Amino acid sequence: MENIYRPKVLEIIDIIEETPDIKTFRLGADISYRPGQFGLYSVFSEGEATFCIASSPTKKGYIECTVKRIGRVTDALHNLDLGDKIGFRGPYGNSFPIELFKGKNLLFIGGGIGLAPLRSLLLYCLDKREDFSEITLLYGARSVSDLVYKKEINEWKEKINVFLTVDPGGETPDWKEKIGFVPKVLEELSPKREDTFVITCGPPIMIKFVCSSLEKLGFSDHKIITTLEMKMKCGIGKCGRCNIGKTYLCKDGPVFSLKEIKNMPDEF
Amino acid sequence: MNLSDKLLNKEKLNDFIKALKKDFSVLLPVKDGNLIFFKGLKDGIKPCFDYSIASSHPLKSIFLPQREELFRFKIKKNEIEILESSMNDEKRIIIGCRPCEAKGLTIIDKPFLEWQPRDEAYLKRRENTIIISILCPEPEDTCFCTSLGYNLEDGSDILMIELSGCYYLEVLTERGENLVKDLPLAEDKKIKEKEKEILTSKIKRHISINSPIAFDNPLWKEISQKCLGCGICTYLCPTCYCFDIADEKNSRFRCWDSCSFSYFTKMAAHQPRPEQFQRYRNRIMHKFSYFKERFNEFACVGCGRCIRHCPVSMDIMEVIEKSGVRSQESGVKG
Ligand SMILES: Cc1cc2nc3c(=O)[nH]c(=O)nc-3n(C[C@H](O)[C@H](O)[C@H](O)COP(=O)(O)OP(=O)(O)OC[C@H]3O[C@@H](n4cnc5c(N)ncnc54)[C@H](O)[C@@H]3O)c2cc1C
Ligand code: SF4
Ligand code: SF4
Ligand code: FES
Repeated sequence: MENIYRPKVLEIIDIIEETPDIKTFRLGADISYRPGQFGLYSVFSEGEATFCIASSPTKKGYIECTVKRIGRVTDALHNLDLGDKIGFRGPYGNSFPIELFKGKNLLFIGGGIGLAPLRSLLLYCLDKREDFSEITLLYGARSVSDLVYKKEINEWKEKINVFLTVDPGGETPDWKEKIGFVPKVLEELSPKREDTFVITCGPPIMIKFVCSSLEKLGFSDHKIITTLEMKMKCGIGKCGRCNIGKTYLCKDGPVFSLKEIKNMPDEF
Repeated sequence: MNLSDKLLNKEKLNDFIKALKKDFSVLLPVKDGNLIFFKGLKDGIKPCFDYSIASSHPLKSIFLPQREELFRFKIKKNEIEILESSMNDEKRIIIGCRPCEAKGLTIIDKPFLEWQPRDEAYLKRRENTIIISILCPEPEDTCFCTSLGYNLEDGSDILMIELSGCYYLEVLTERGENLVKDLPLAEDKKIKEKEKEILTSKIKRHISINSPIAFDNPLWKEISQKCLGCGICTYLCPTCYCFDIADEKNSRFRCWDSCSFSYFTKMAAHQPRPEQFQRYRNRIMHKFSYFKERFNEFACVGCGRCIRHCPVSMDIMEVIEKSGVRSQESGVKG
C-alpha cells in the first residue's frame, strides 16, 4: 500500500541567507516538476509547511525553496544546517502555462517573497532564452534589506530588463533604483501590452492593486497570470481547507489567470 | 451475478451474526444509556437494531478515524528513518447502521478515491468493510433525507428491513450476496417498497434545493449570527471530512478539523475568512453548491445530526431555505 502522506527525505546541500528572515535552501533530489508547482516540506517532529519550488527544472539534481521565518515549521527550518535532512512531498498543483508564453514578451511583477514562485519560471526562461521575446522583471519589497535573490538579480540584468523598487522609507542612502509601491512604479513604466503575458505574485493586497493597474494599462484578463495562496495541509485535495469557492488551490491551482480569478468568490 | 433478496428469520439472527464472526470482525449498534455506539461483537453484547436516534459517532469515524497516525519516524543525528504505522486491515462487517450513513461514505469517496492520488488507508478500510444497513423504524424529527434526492440503497451492500418475525434482506452487491447465499429467497418484493414508502412518508421535513445558494446574499450575516464556531456540526456530520496534519515527537498524524474554526484558514499574513459568517457560509456552500458543482451531488445526507446537536440550535434546513431566497438575483459569481 502506497502511503501518500509519506515524504521523501532530502538533504540540505546549500543555504543562502537572502534577508534577515528569509533563507533559500537547496535540497539534493531527483524530482521532475514544472515551474509554478509546490511541495509540502517538513521538519520531523515540527510539522509540514507549503512552499513553492523556487528552482528551475532545467537544473537537475536539486530543488530549492525560499522560506520566510514566520511560525513553527519555518522557525525550525531556519535553524537547520548543511547536511540536515528534511521531508518533501510533491510536486503538487498545476503550473505556469509555458506553452502559451513561447515567443511572447514576458513581464514578471513580484513583491517580497512572492518572487520565489516567479523565480522558477524566470530561471527556466533564462535557460531557454531564445524561446521567449523580451523579458522584464519589476520587483519590489518593503525595504532594501527585504529584497531576495539580490546577487542573482544582478546577473539576470545581462539577459533581461530589471526594475527594482522599495516602499517609500525603505531605501538606503546608496539606493539608486526606484522608490515607490509596485503598482505605482508599474503605471509609470507603462509597459507595452502587445504580445505580452504578465506573471505576478506577492502579498494578496499587492496582487489586487497590480491587477487593477494592469487593467488600467489595457492588459486583458487572460494574459495576467498569478499564483494564489491559501492555507494548505494535504496538498492533494483531501483535507478540504484550500478552497476559494468550488476551486481547490492545491488541485486546480495555485496558478490562475485573472480571468479565472474573477469568477471566484471574493474570499482570498 | 444475479442478486436476489433474502429473508432472515429473527430467531436465526444470532446464528447468522455468529457465523459471520468466523471471517469478519463484526460491528453492531449497542445501546449505552440513551446513546447508540457501534461496538465489536463480544460475548454478552446485545445489539440494538430498532434504535431511532442516530448513533453517537458518525459512521465515517470507522473509515476516517478521528485521529490516525500517518507514519512514525526515528531521528538519529541527521539521519531520518521513516517507519510505516501498522494499520488495522481486518475484514469487517457493520450491521445495522442507518442508510444515510452508508450514503455519506459514498460522498467522502469522491475526494478521497475519485480525486488522484487516492487516499490509500481510507480505500483499504472501504474495501475491507461490508455494510449492512437497516431501514430506520422511525425517523427523528430532524431527519430530511428525502429532500436530498438520493436512493436509500446507496452505499450499502445489504439493506435490512425489519418485518414481523423476520428481516427482509435487500441484496445490493456481490459481496453482500456472498454472505447470504444460504438464506431463503424473499419471494414478495413488493414488501420492501411498501416498507420504504411507510418510512419516507413519516419524514416530516422537506426542502427543495433547486437553485444555487447565493454567496453574496446579505442574509448570511444574519443567518449565522448565533453560530459559535464550536465545530460540533462538522465533527458529527457523516459527510464532513476535513482534517489537519501535525507532528508529535516521533510521528505524524492526521485528525479531524473543521472549517468552522478560525485557524482553519489562518495564514501568517492573511486570513481569508476572518468572520464566523464566512466560515459558516463556507460549510453550507460547500455542501450545497461547491460539492455539487464538482461531483454533481450534495454533500449532505439529511441525517439531521447537526440540527439536533448544535448548542445554539442552528437549523441547516432553515438556513438553506433562507439563504436561497435571493439566489435568483445574485447567484454565485461565475
Ligand atoms: C502554494 C503556496 C506556496 C507558498 N510558497 C511559499 C514560499 O515559497 N516561501 C514561503 O516562505 N512561504 C510560502 N508559502 C507560505 C507558507 O506555507 C507559510 O508561511 C508556512 O506554512 C508557515 O508555516 P509555519 O509552520 O512556520 O507557520 P505556523 O506556525 O503555521 O504559523 C504561521 C502564522 O500563523 C499564525 N498562527 C499560528 N498559530 C496560531 C495560533 N494558534 N493562533 C493565531 N495565529 C496563529 C501566526 O500569524 C503565524 O505567524 C506558500 C503557501 C502556499 C499555499
Ligand atoms: S454546531 Fe452550531 S454553533 Fe457549533 S459550529 Fe456548528 S452551527 Fe456553529
Ligand atoms: S444533516 Fe447536517 S450532519 Fe447530517 S449530513 Fe447534512 S450537514 Fe451533515
Ligand atoms: S491542501 Fe488539502 S485540500 Fe487543498
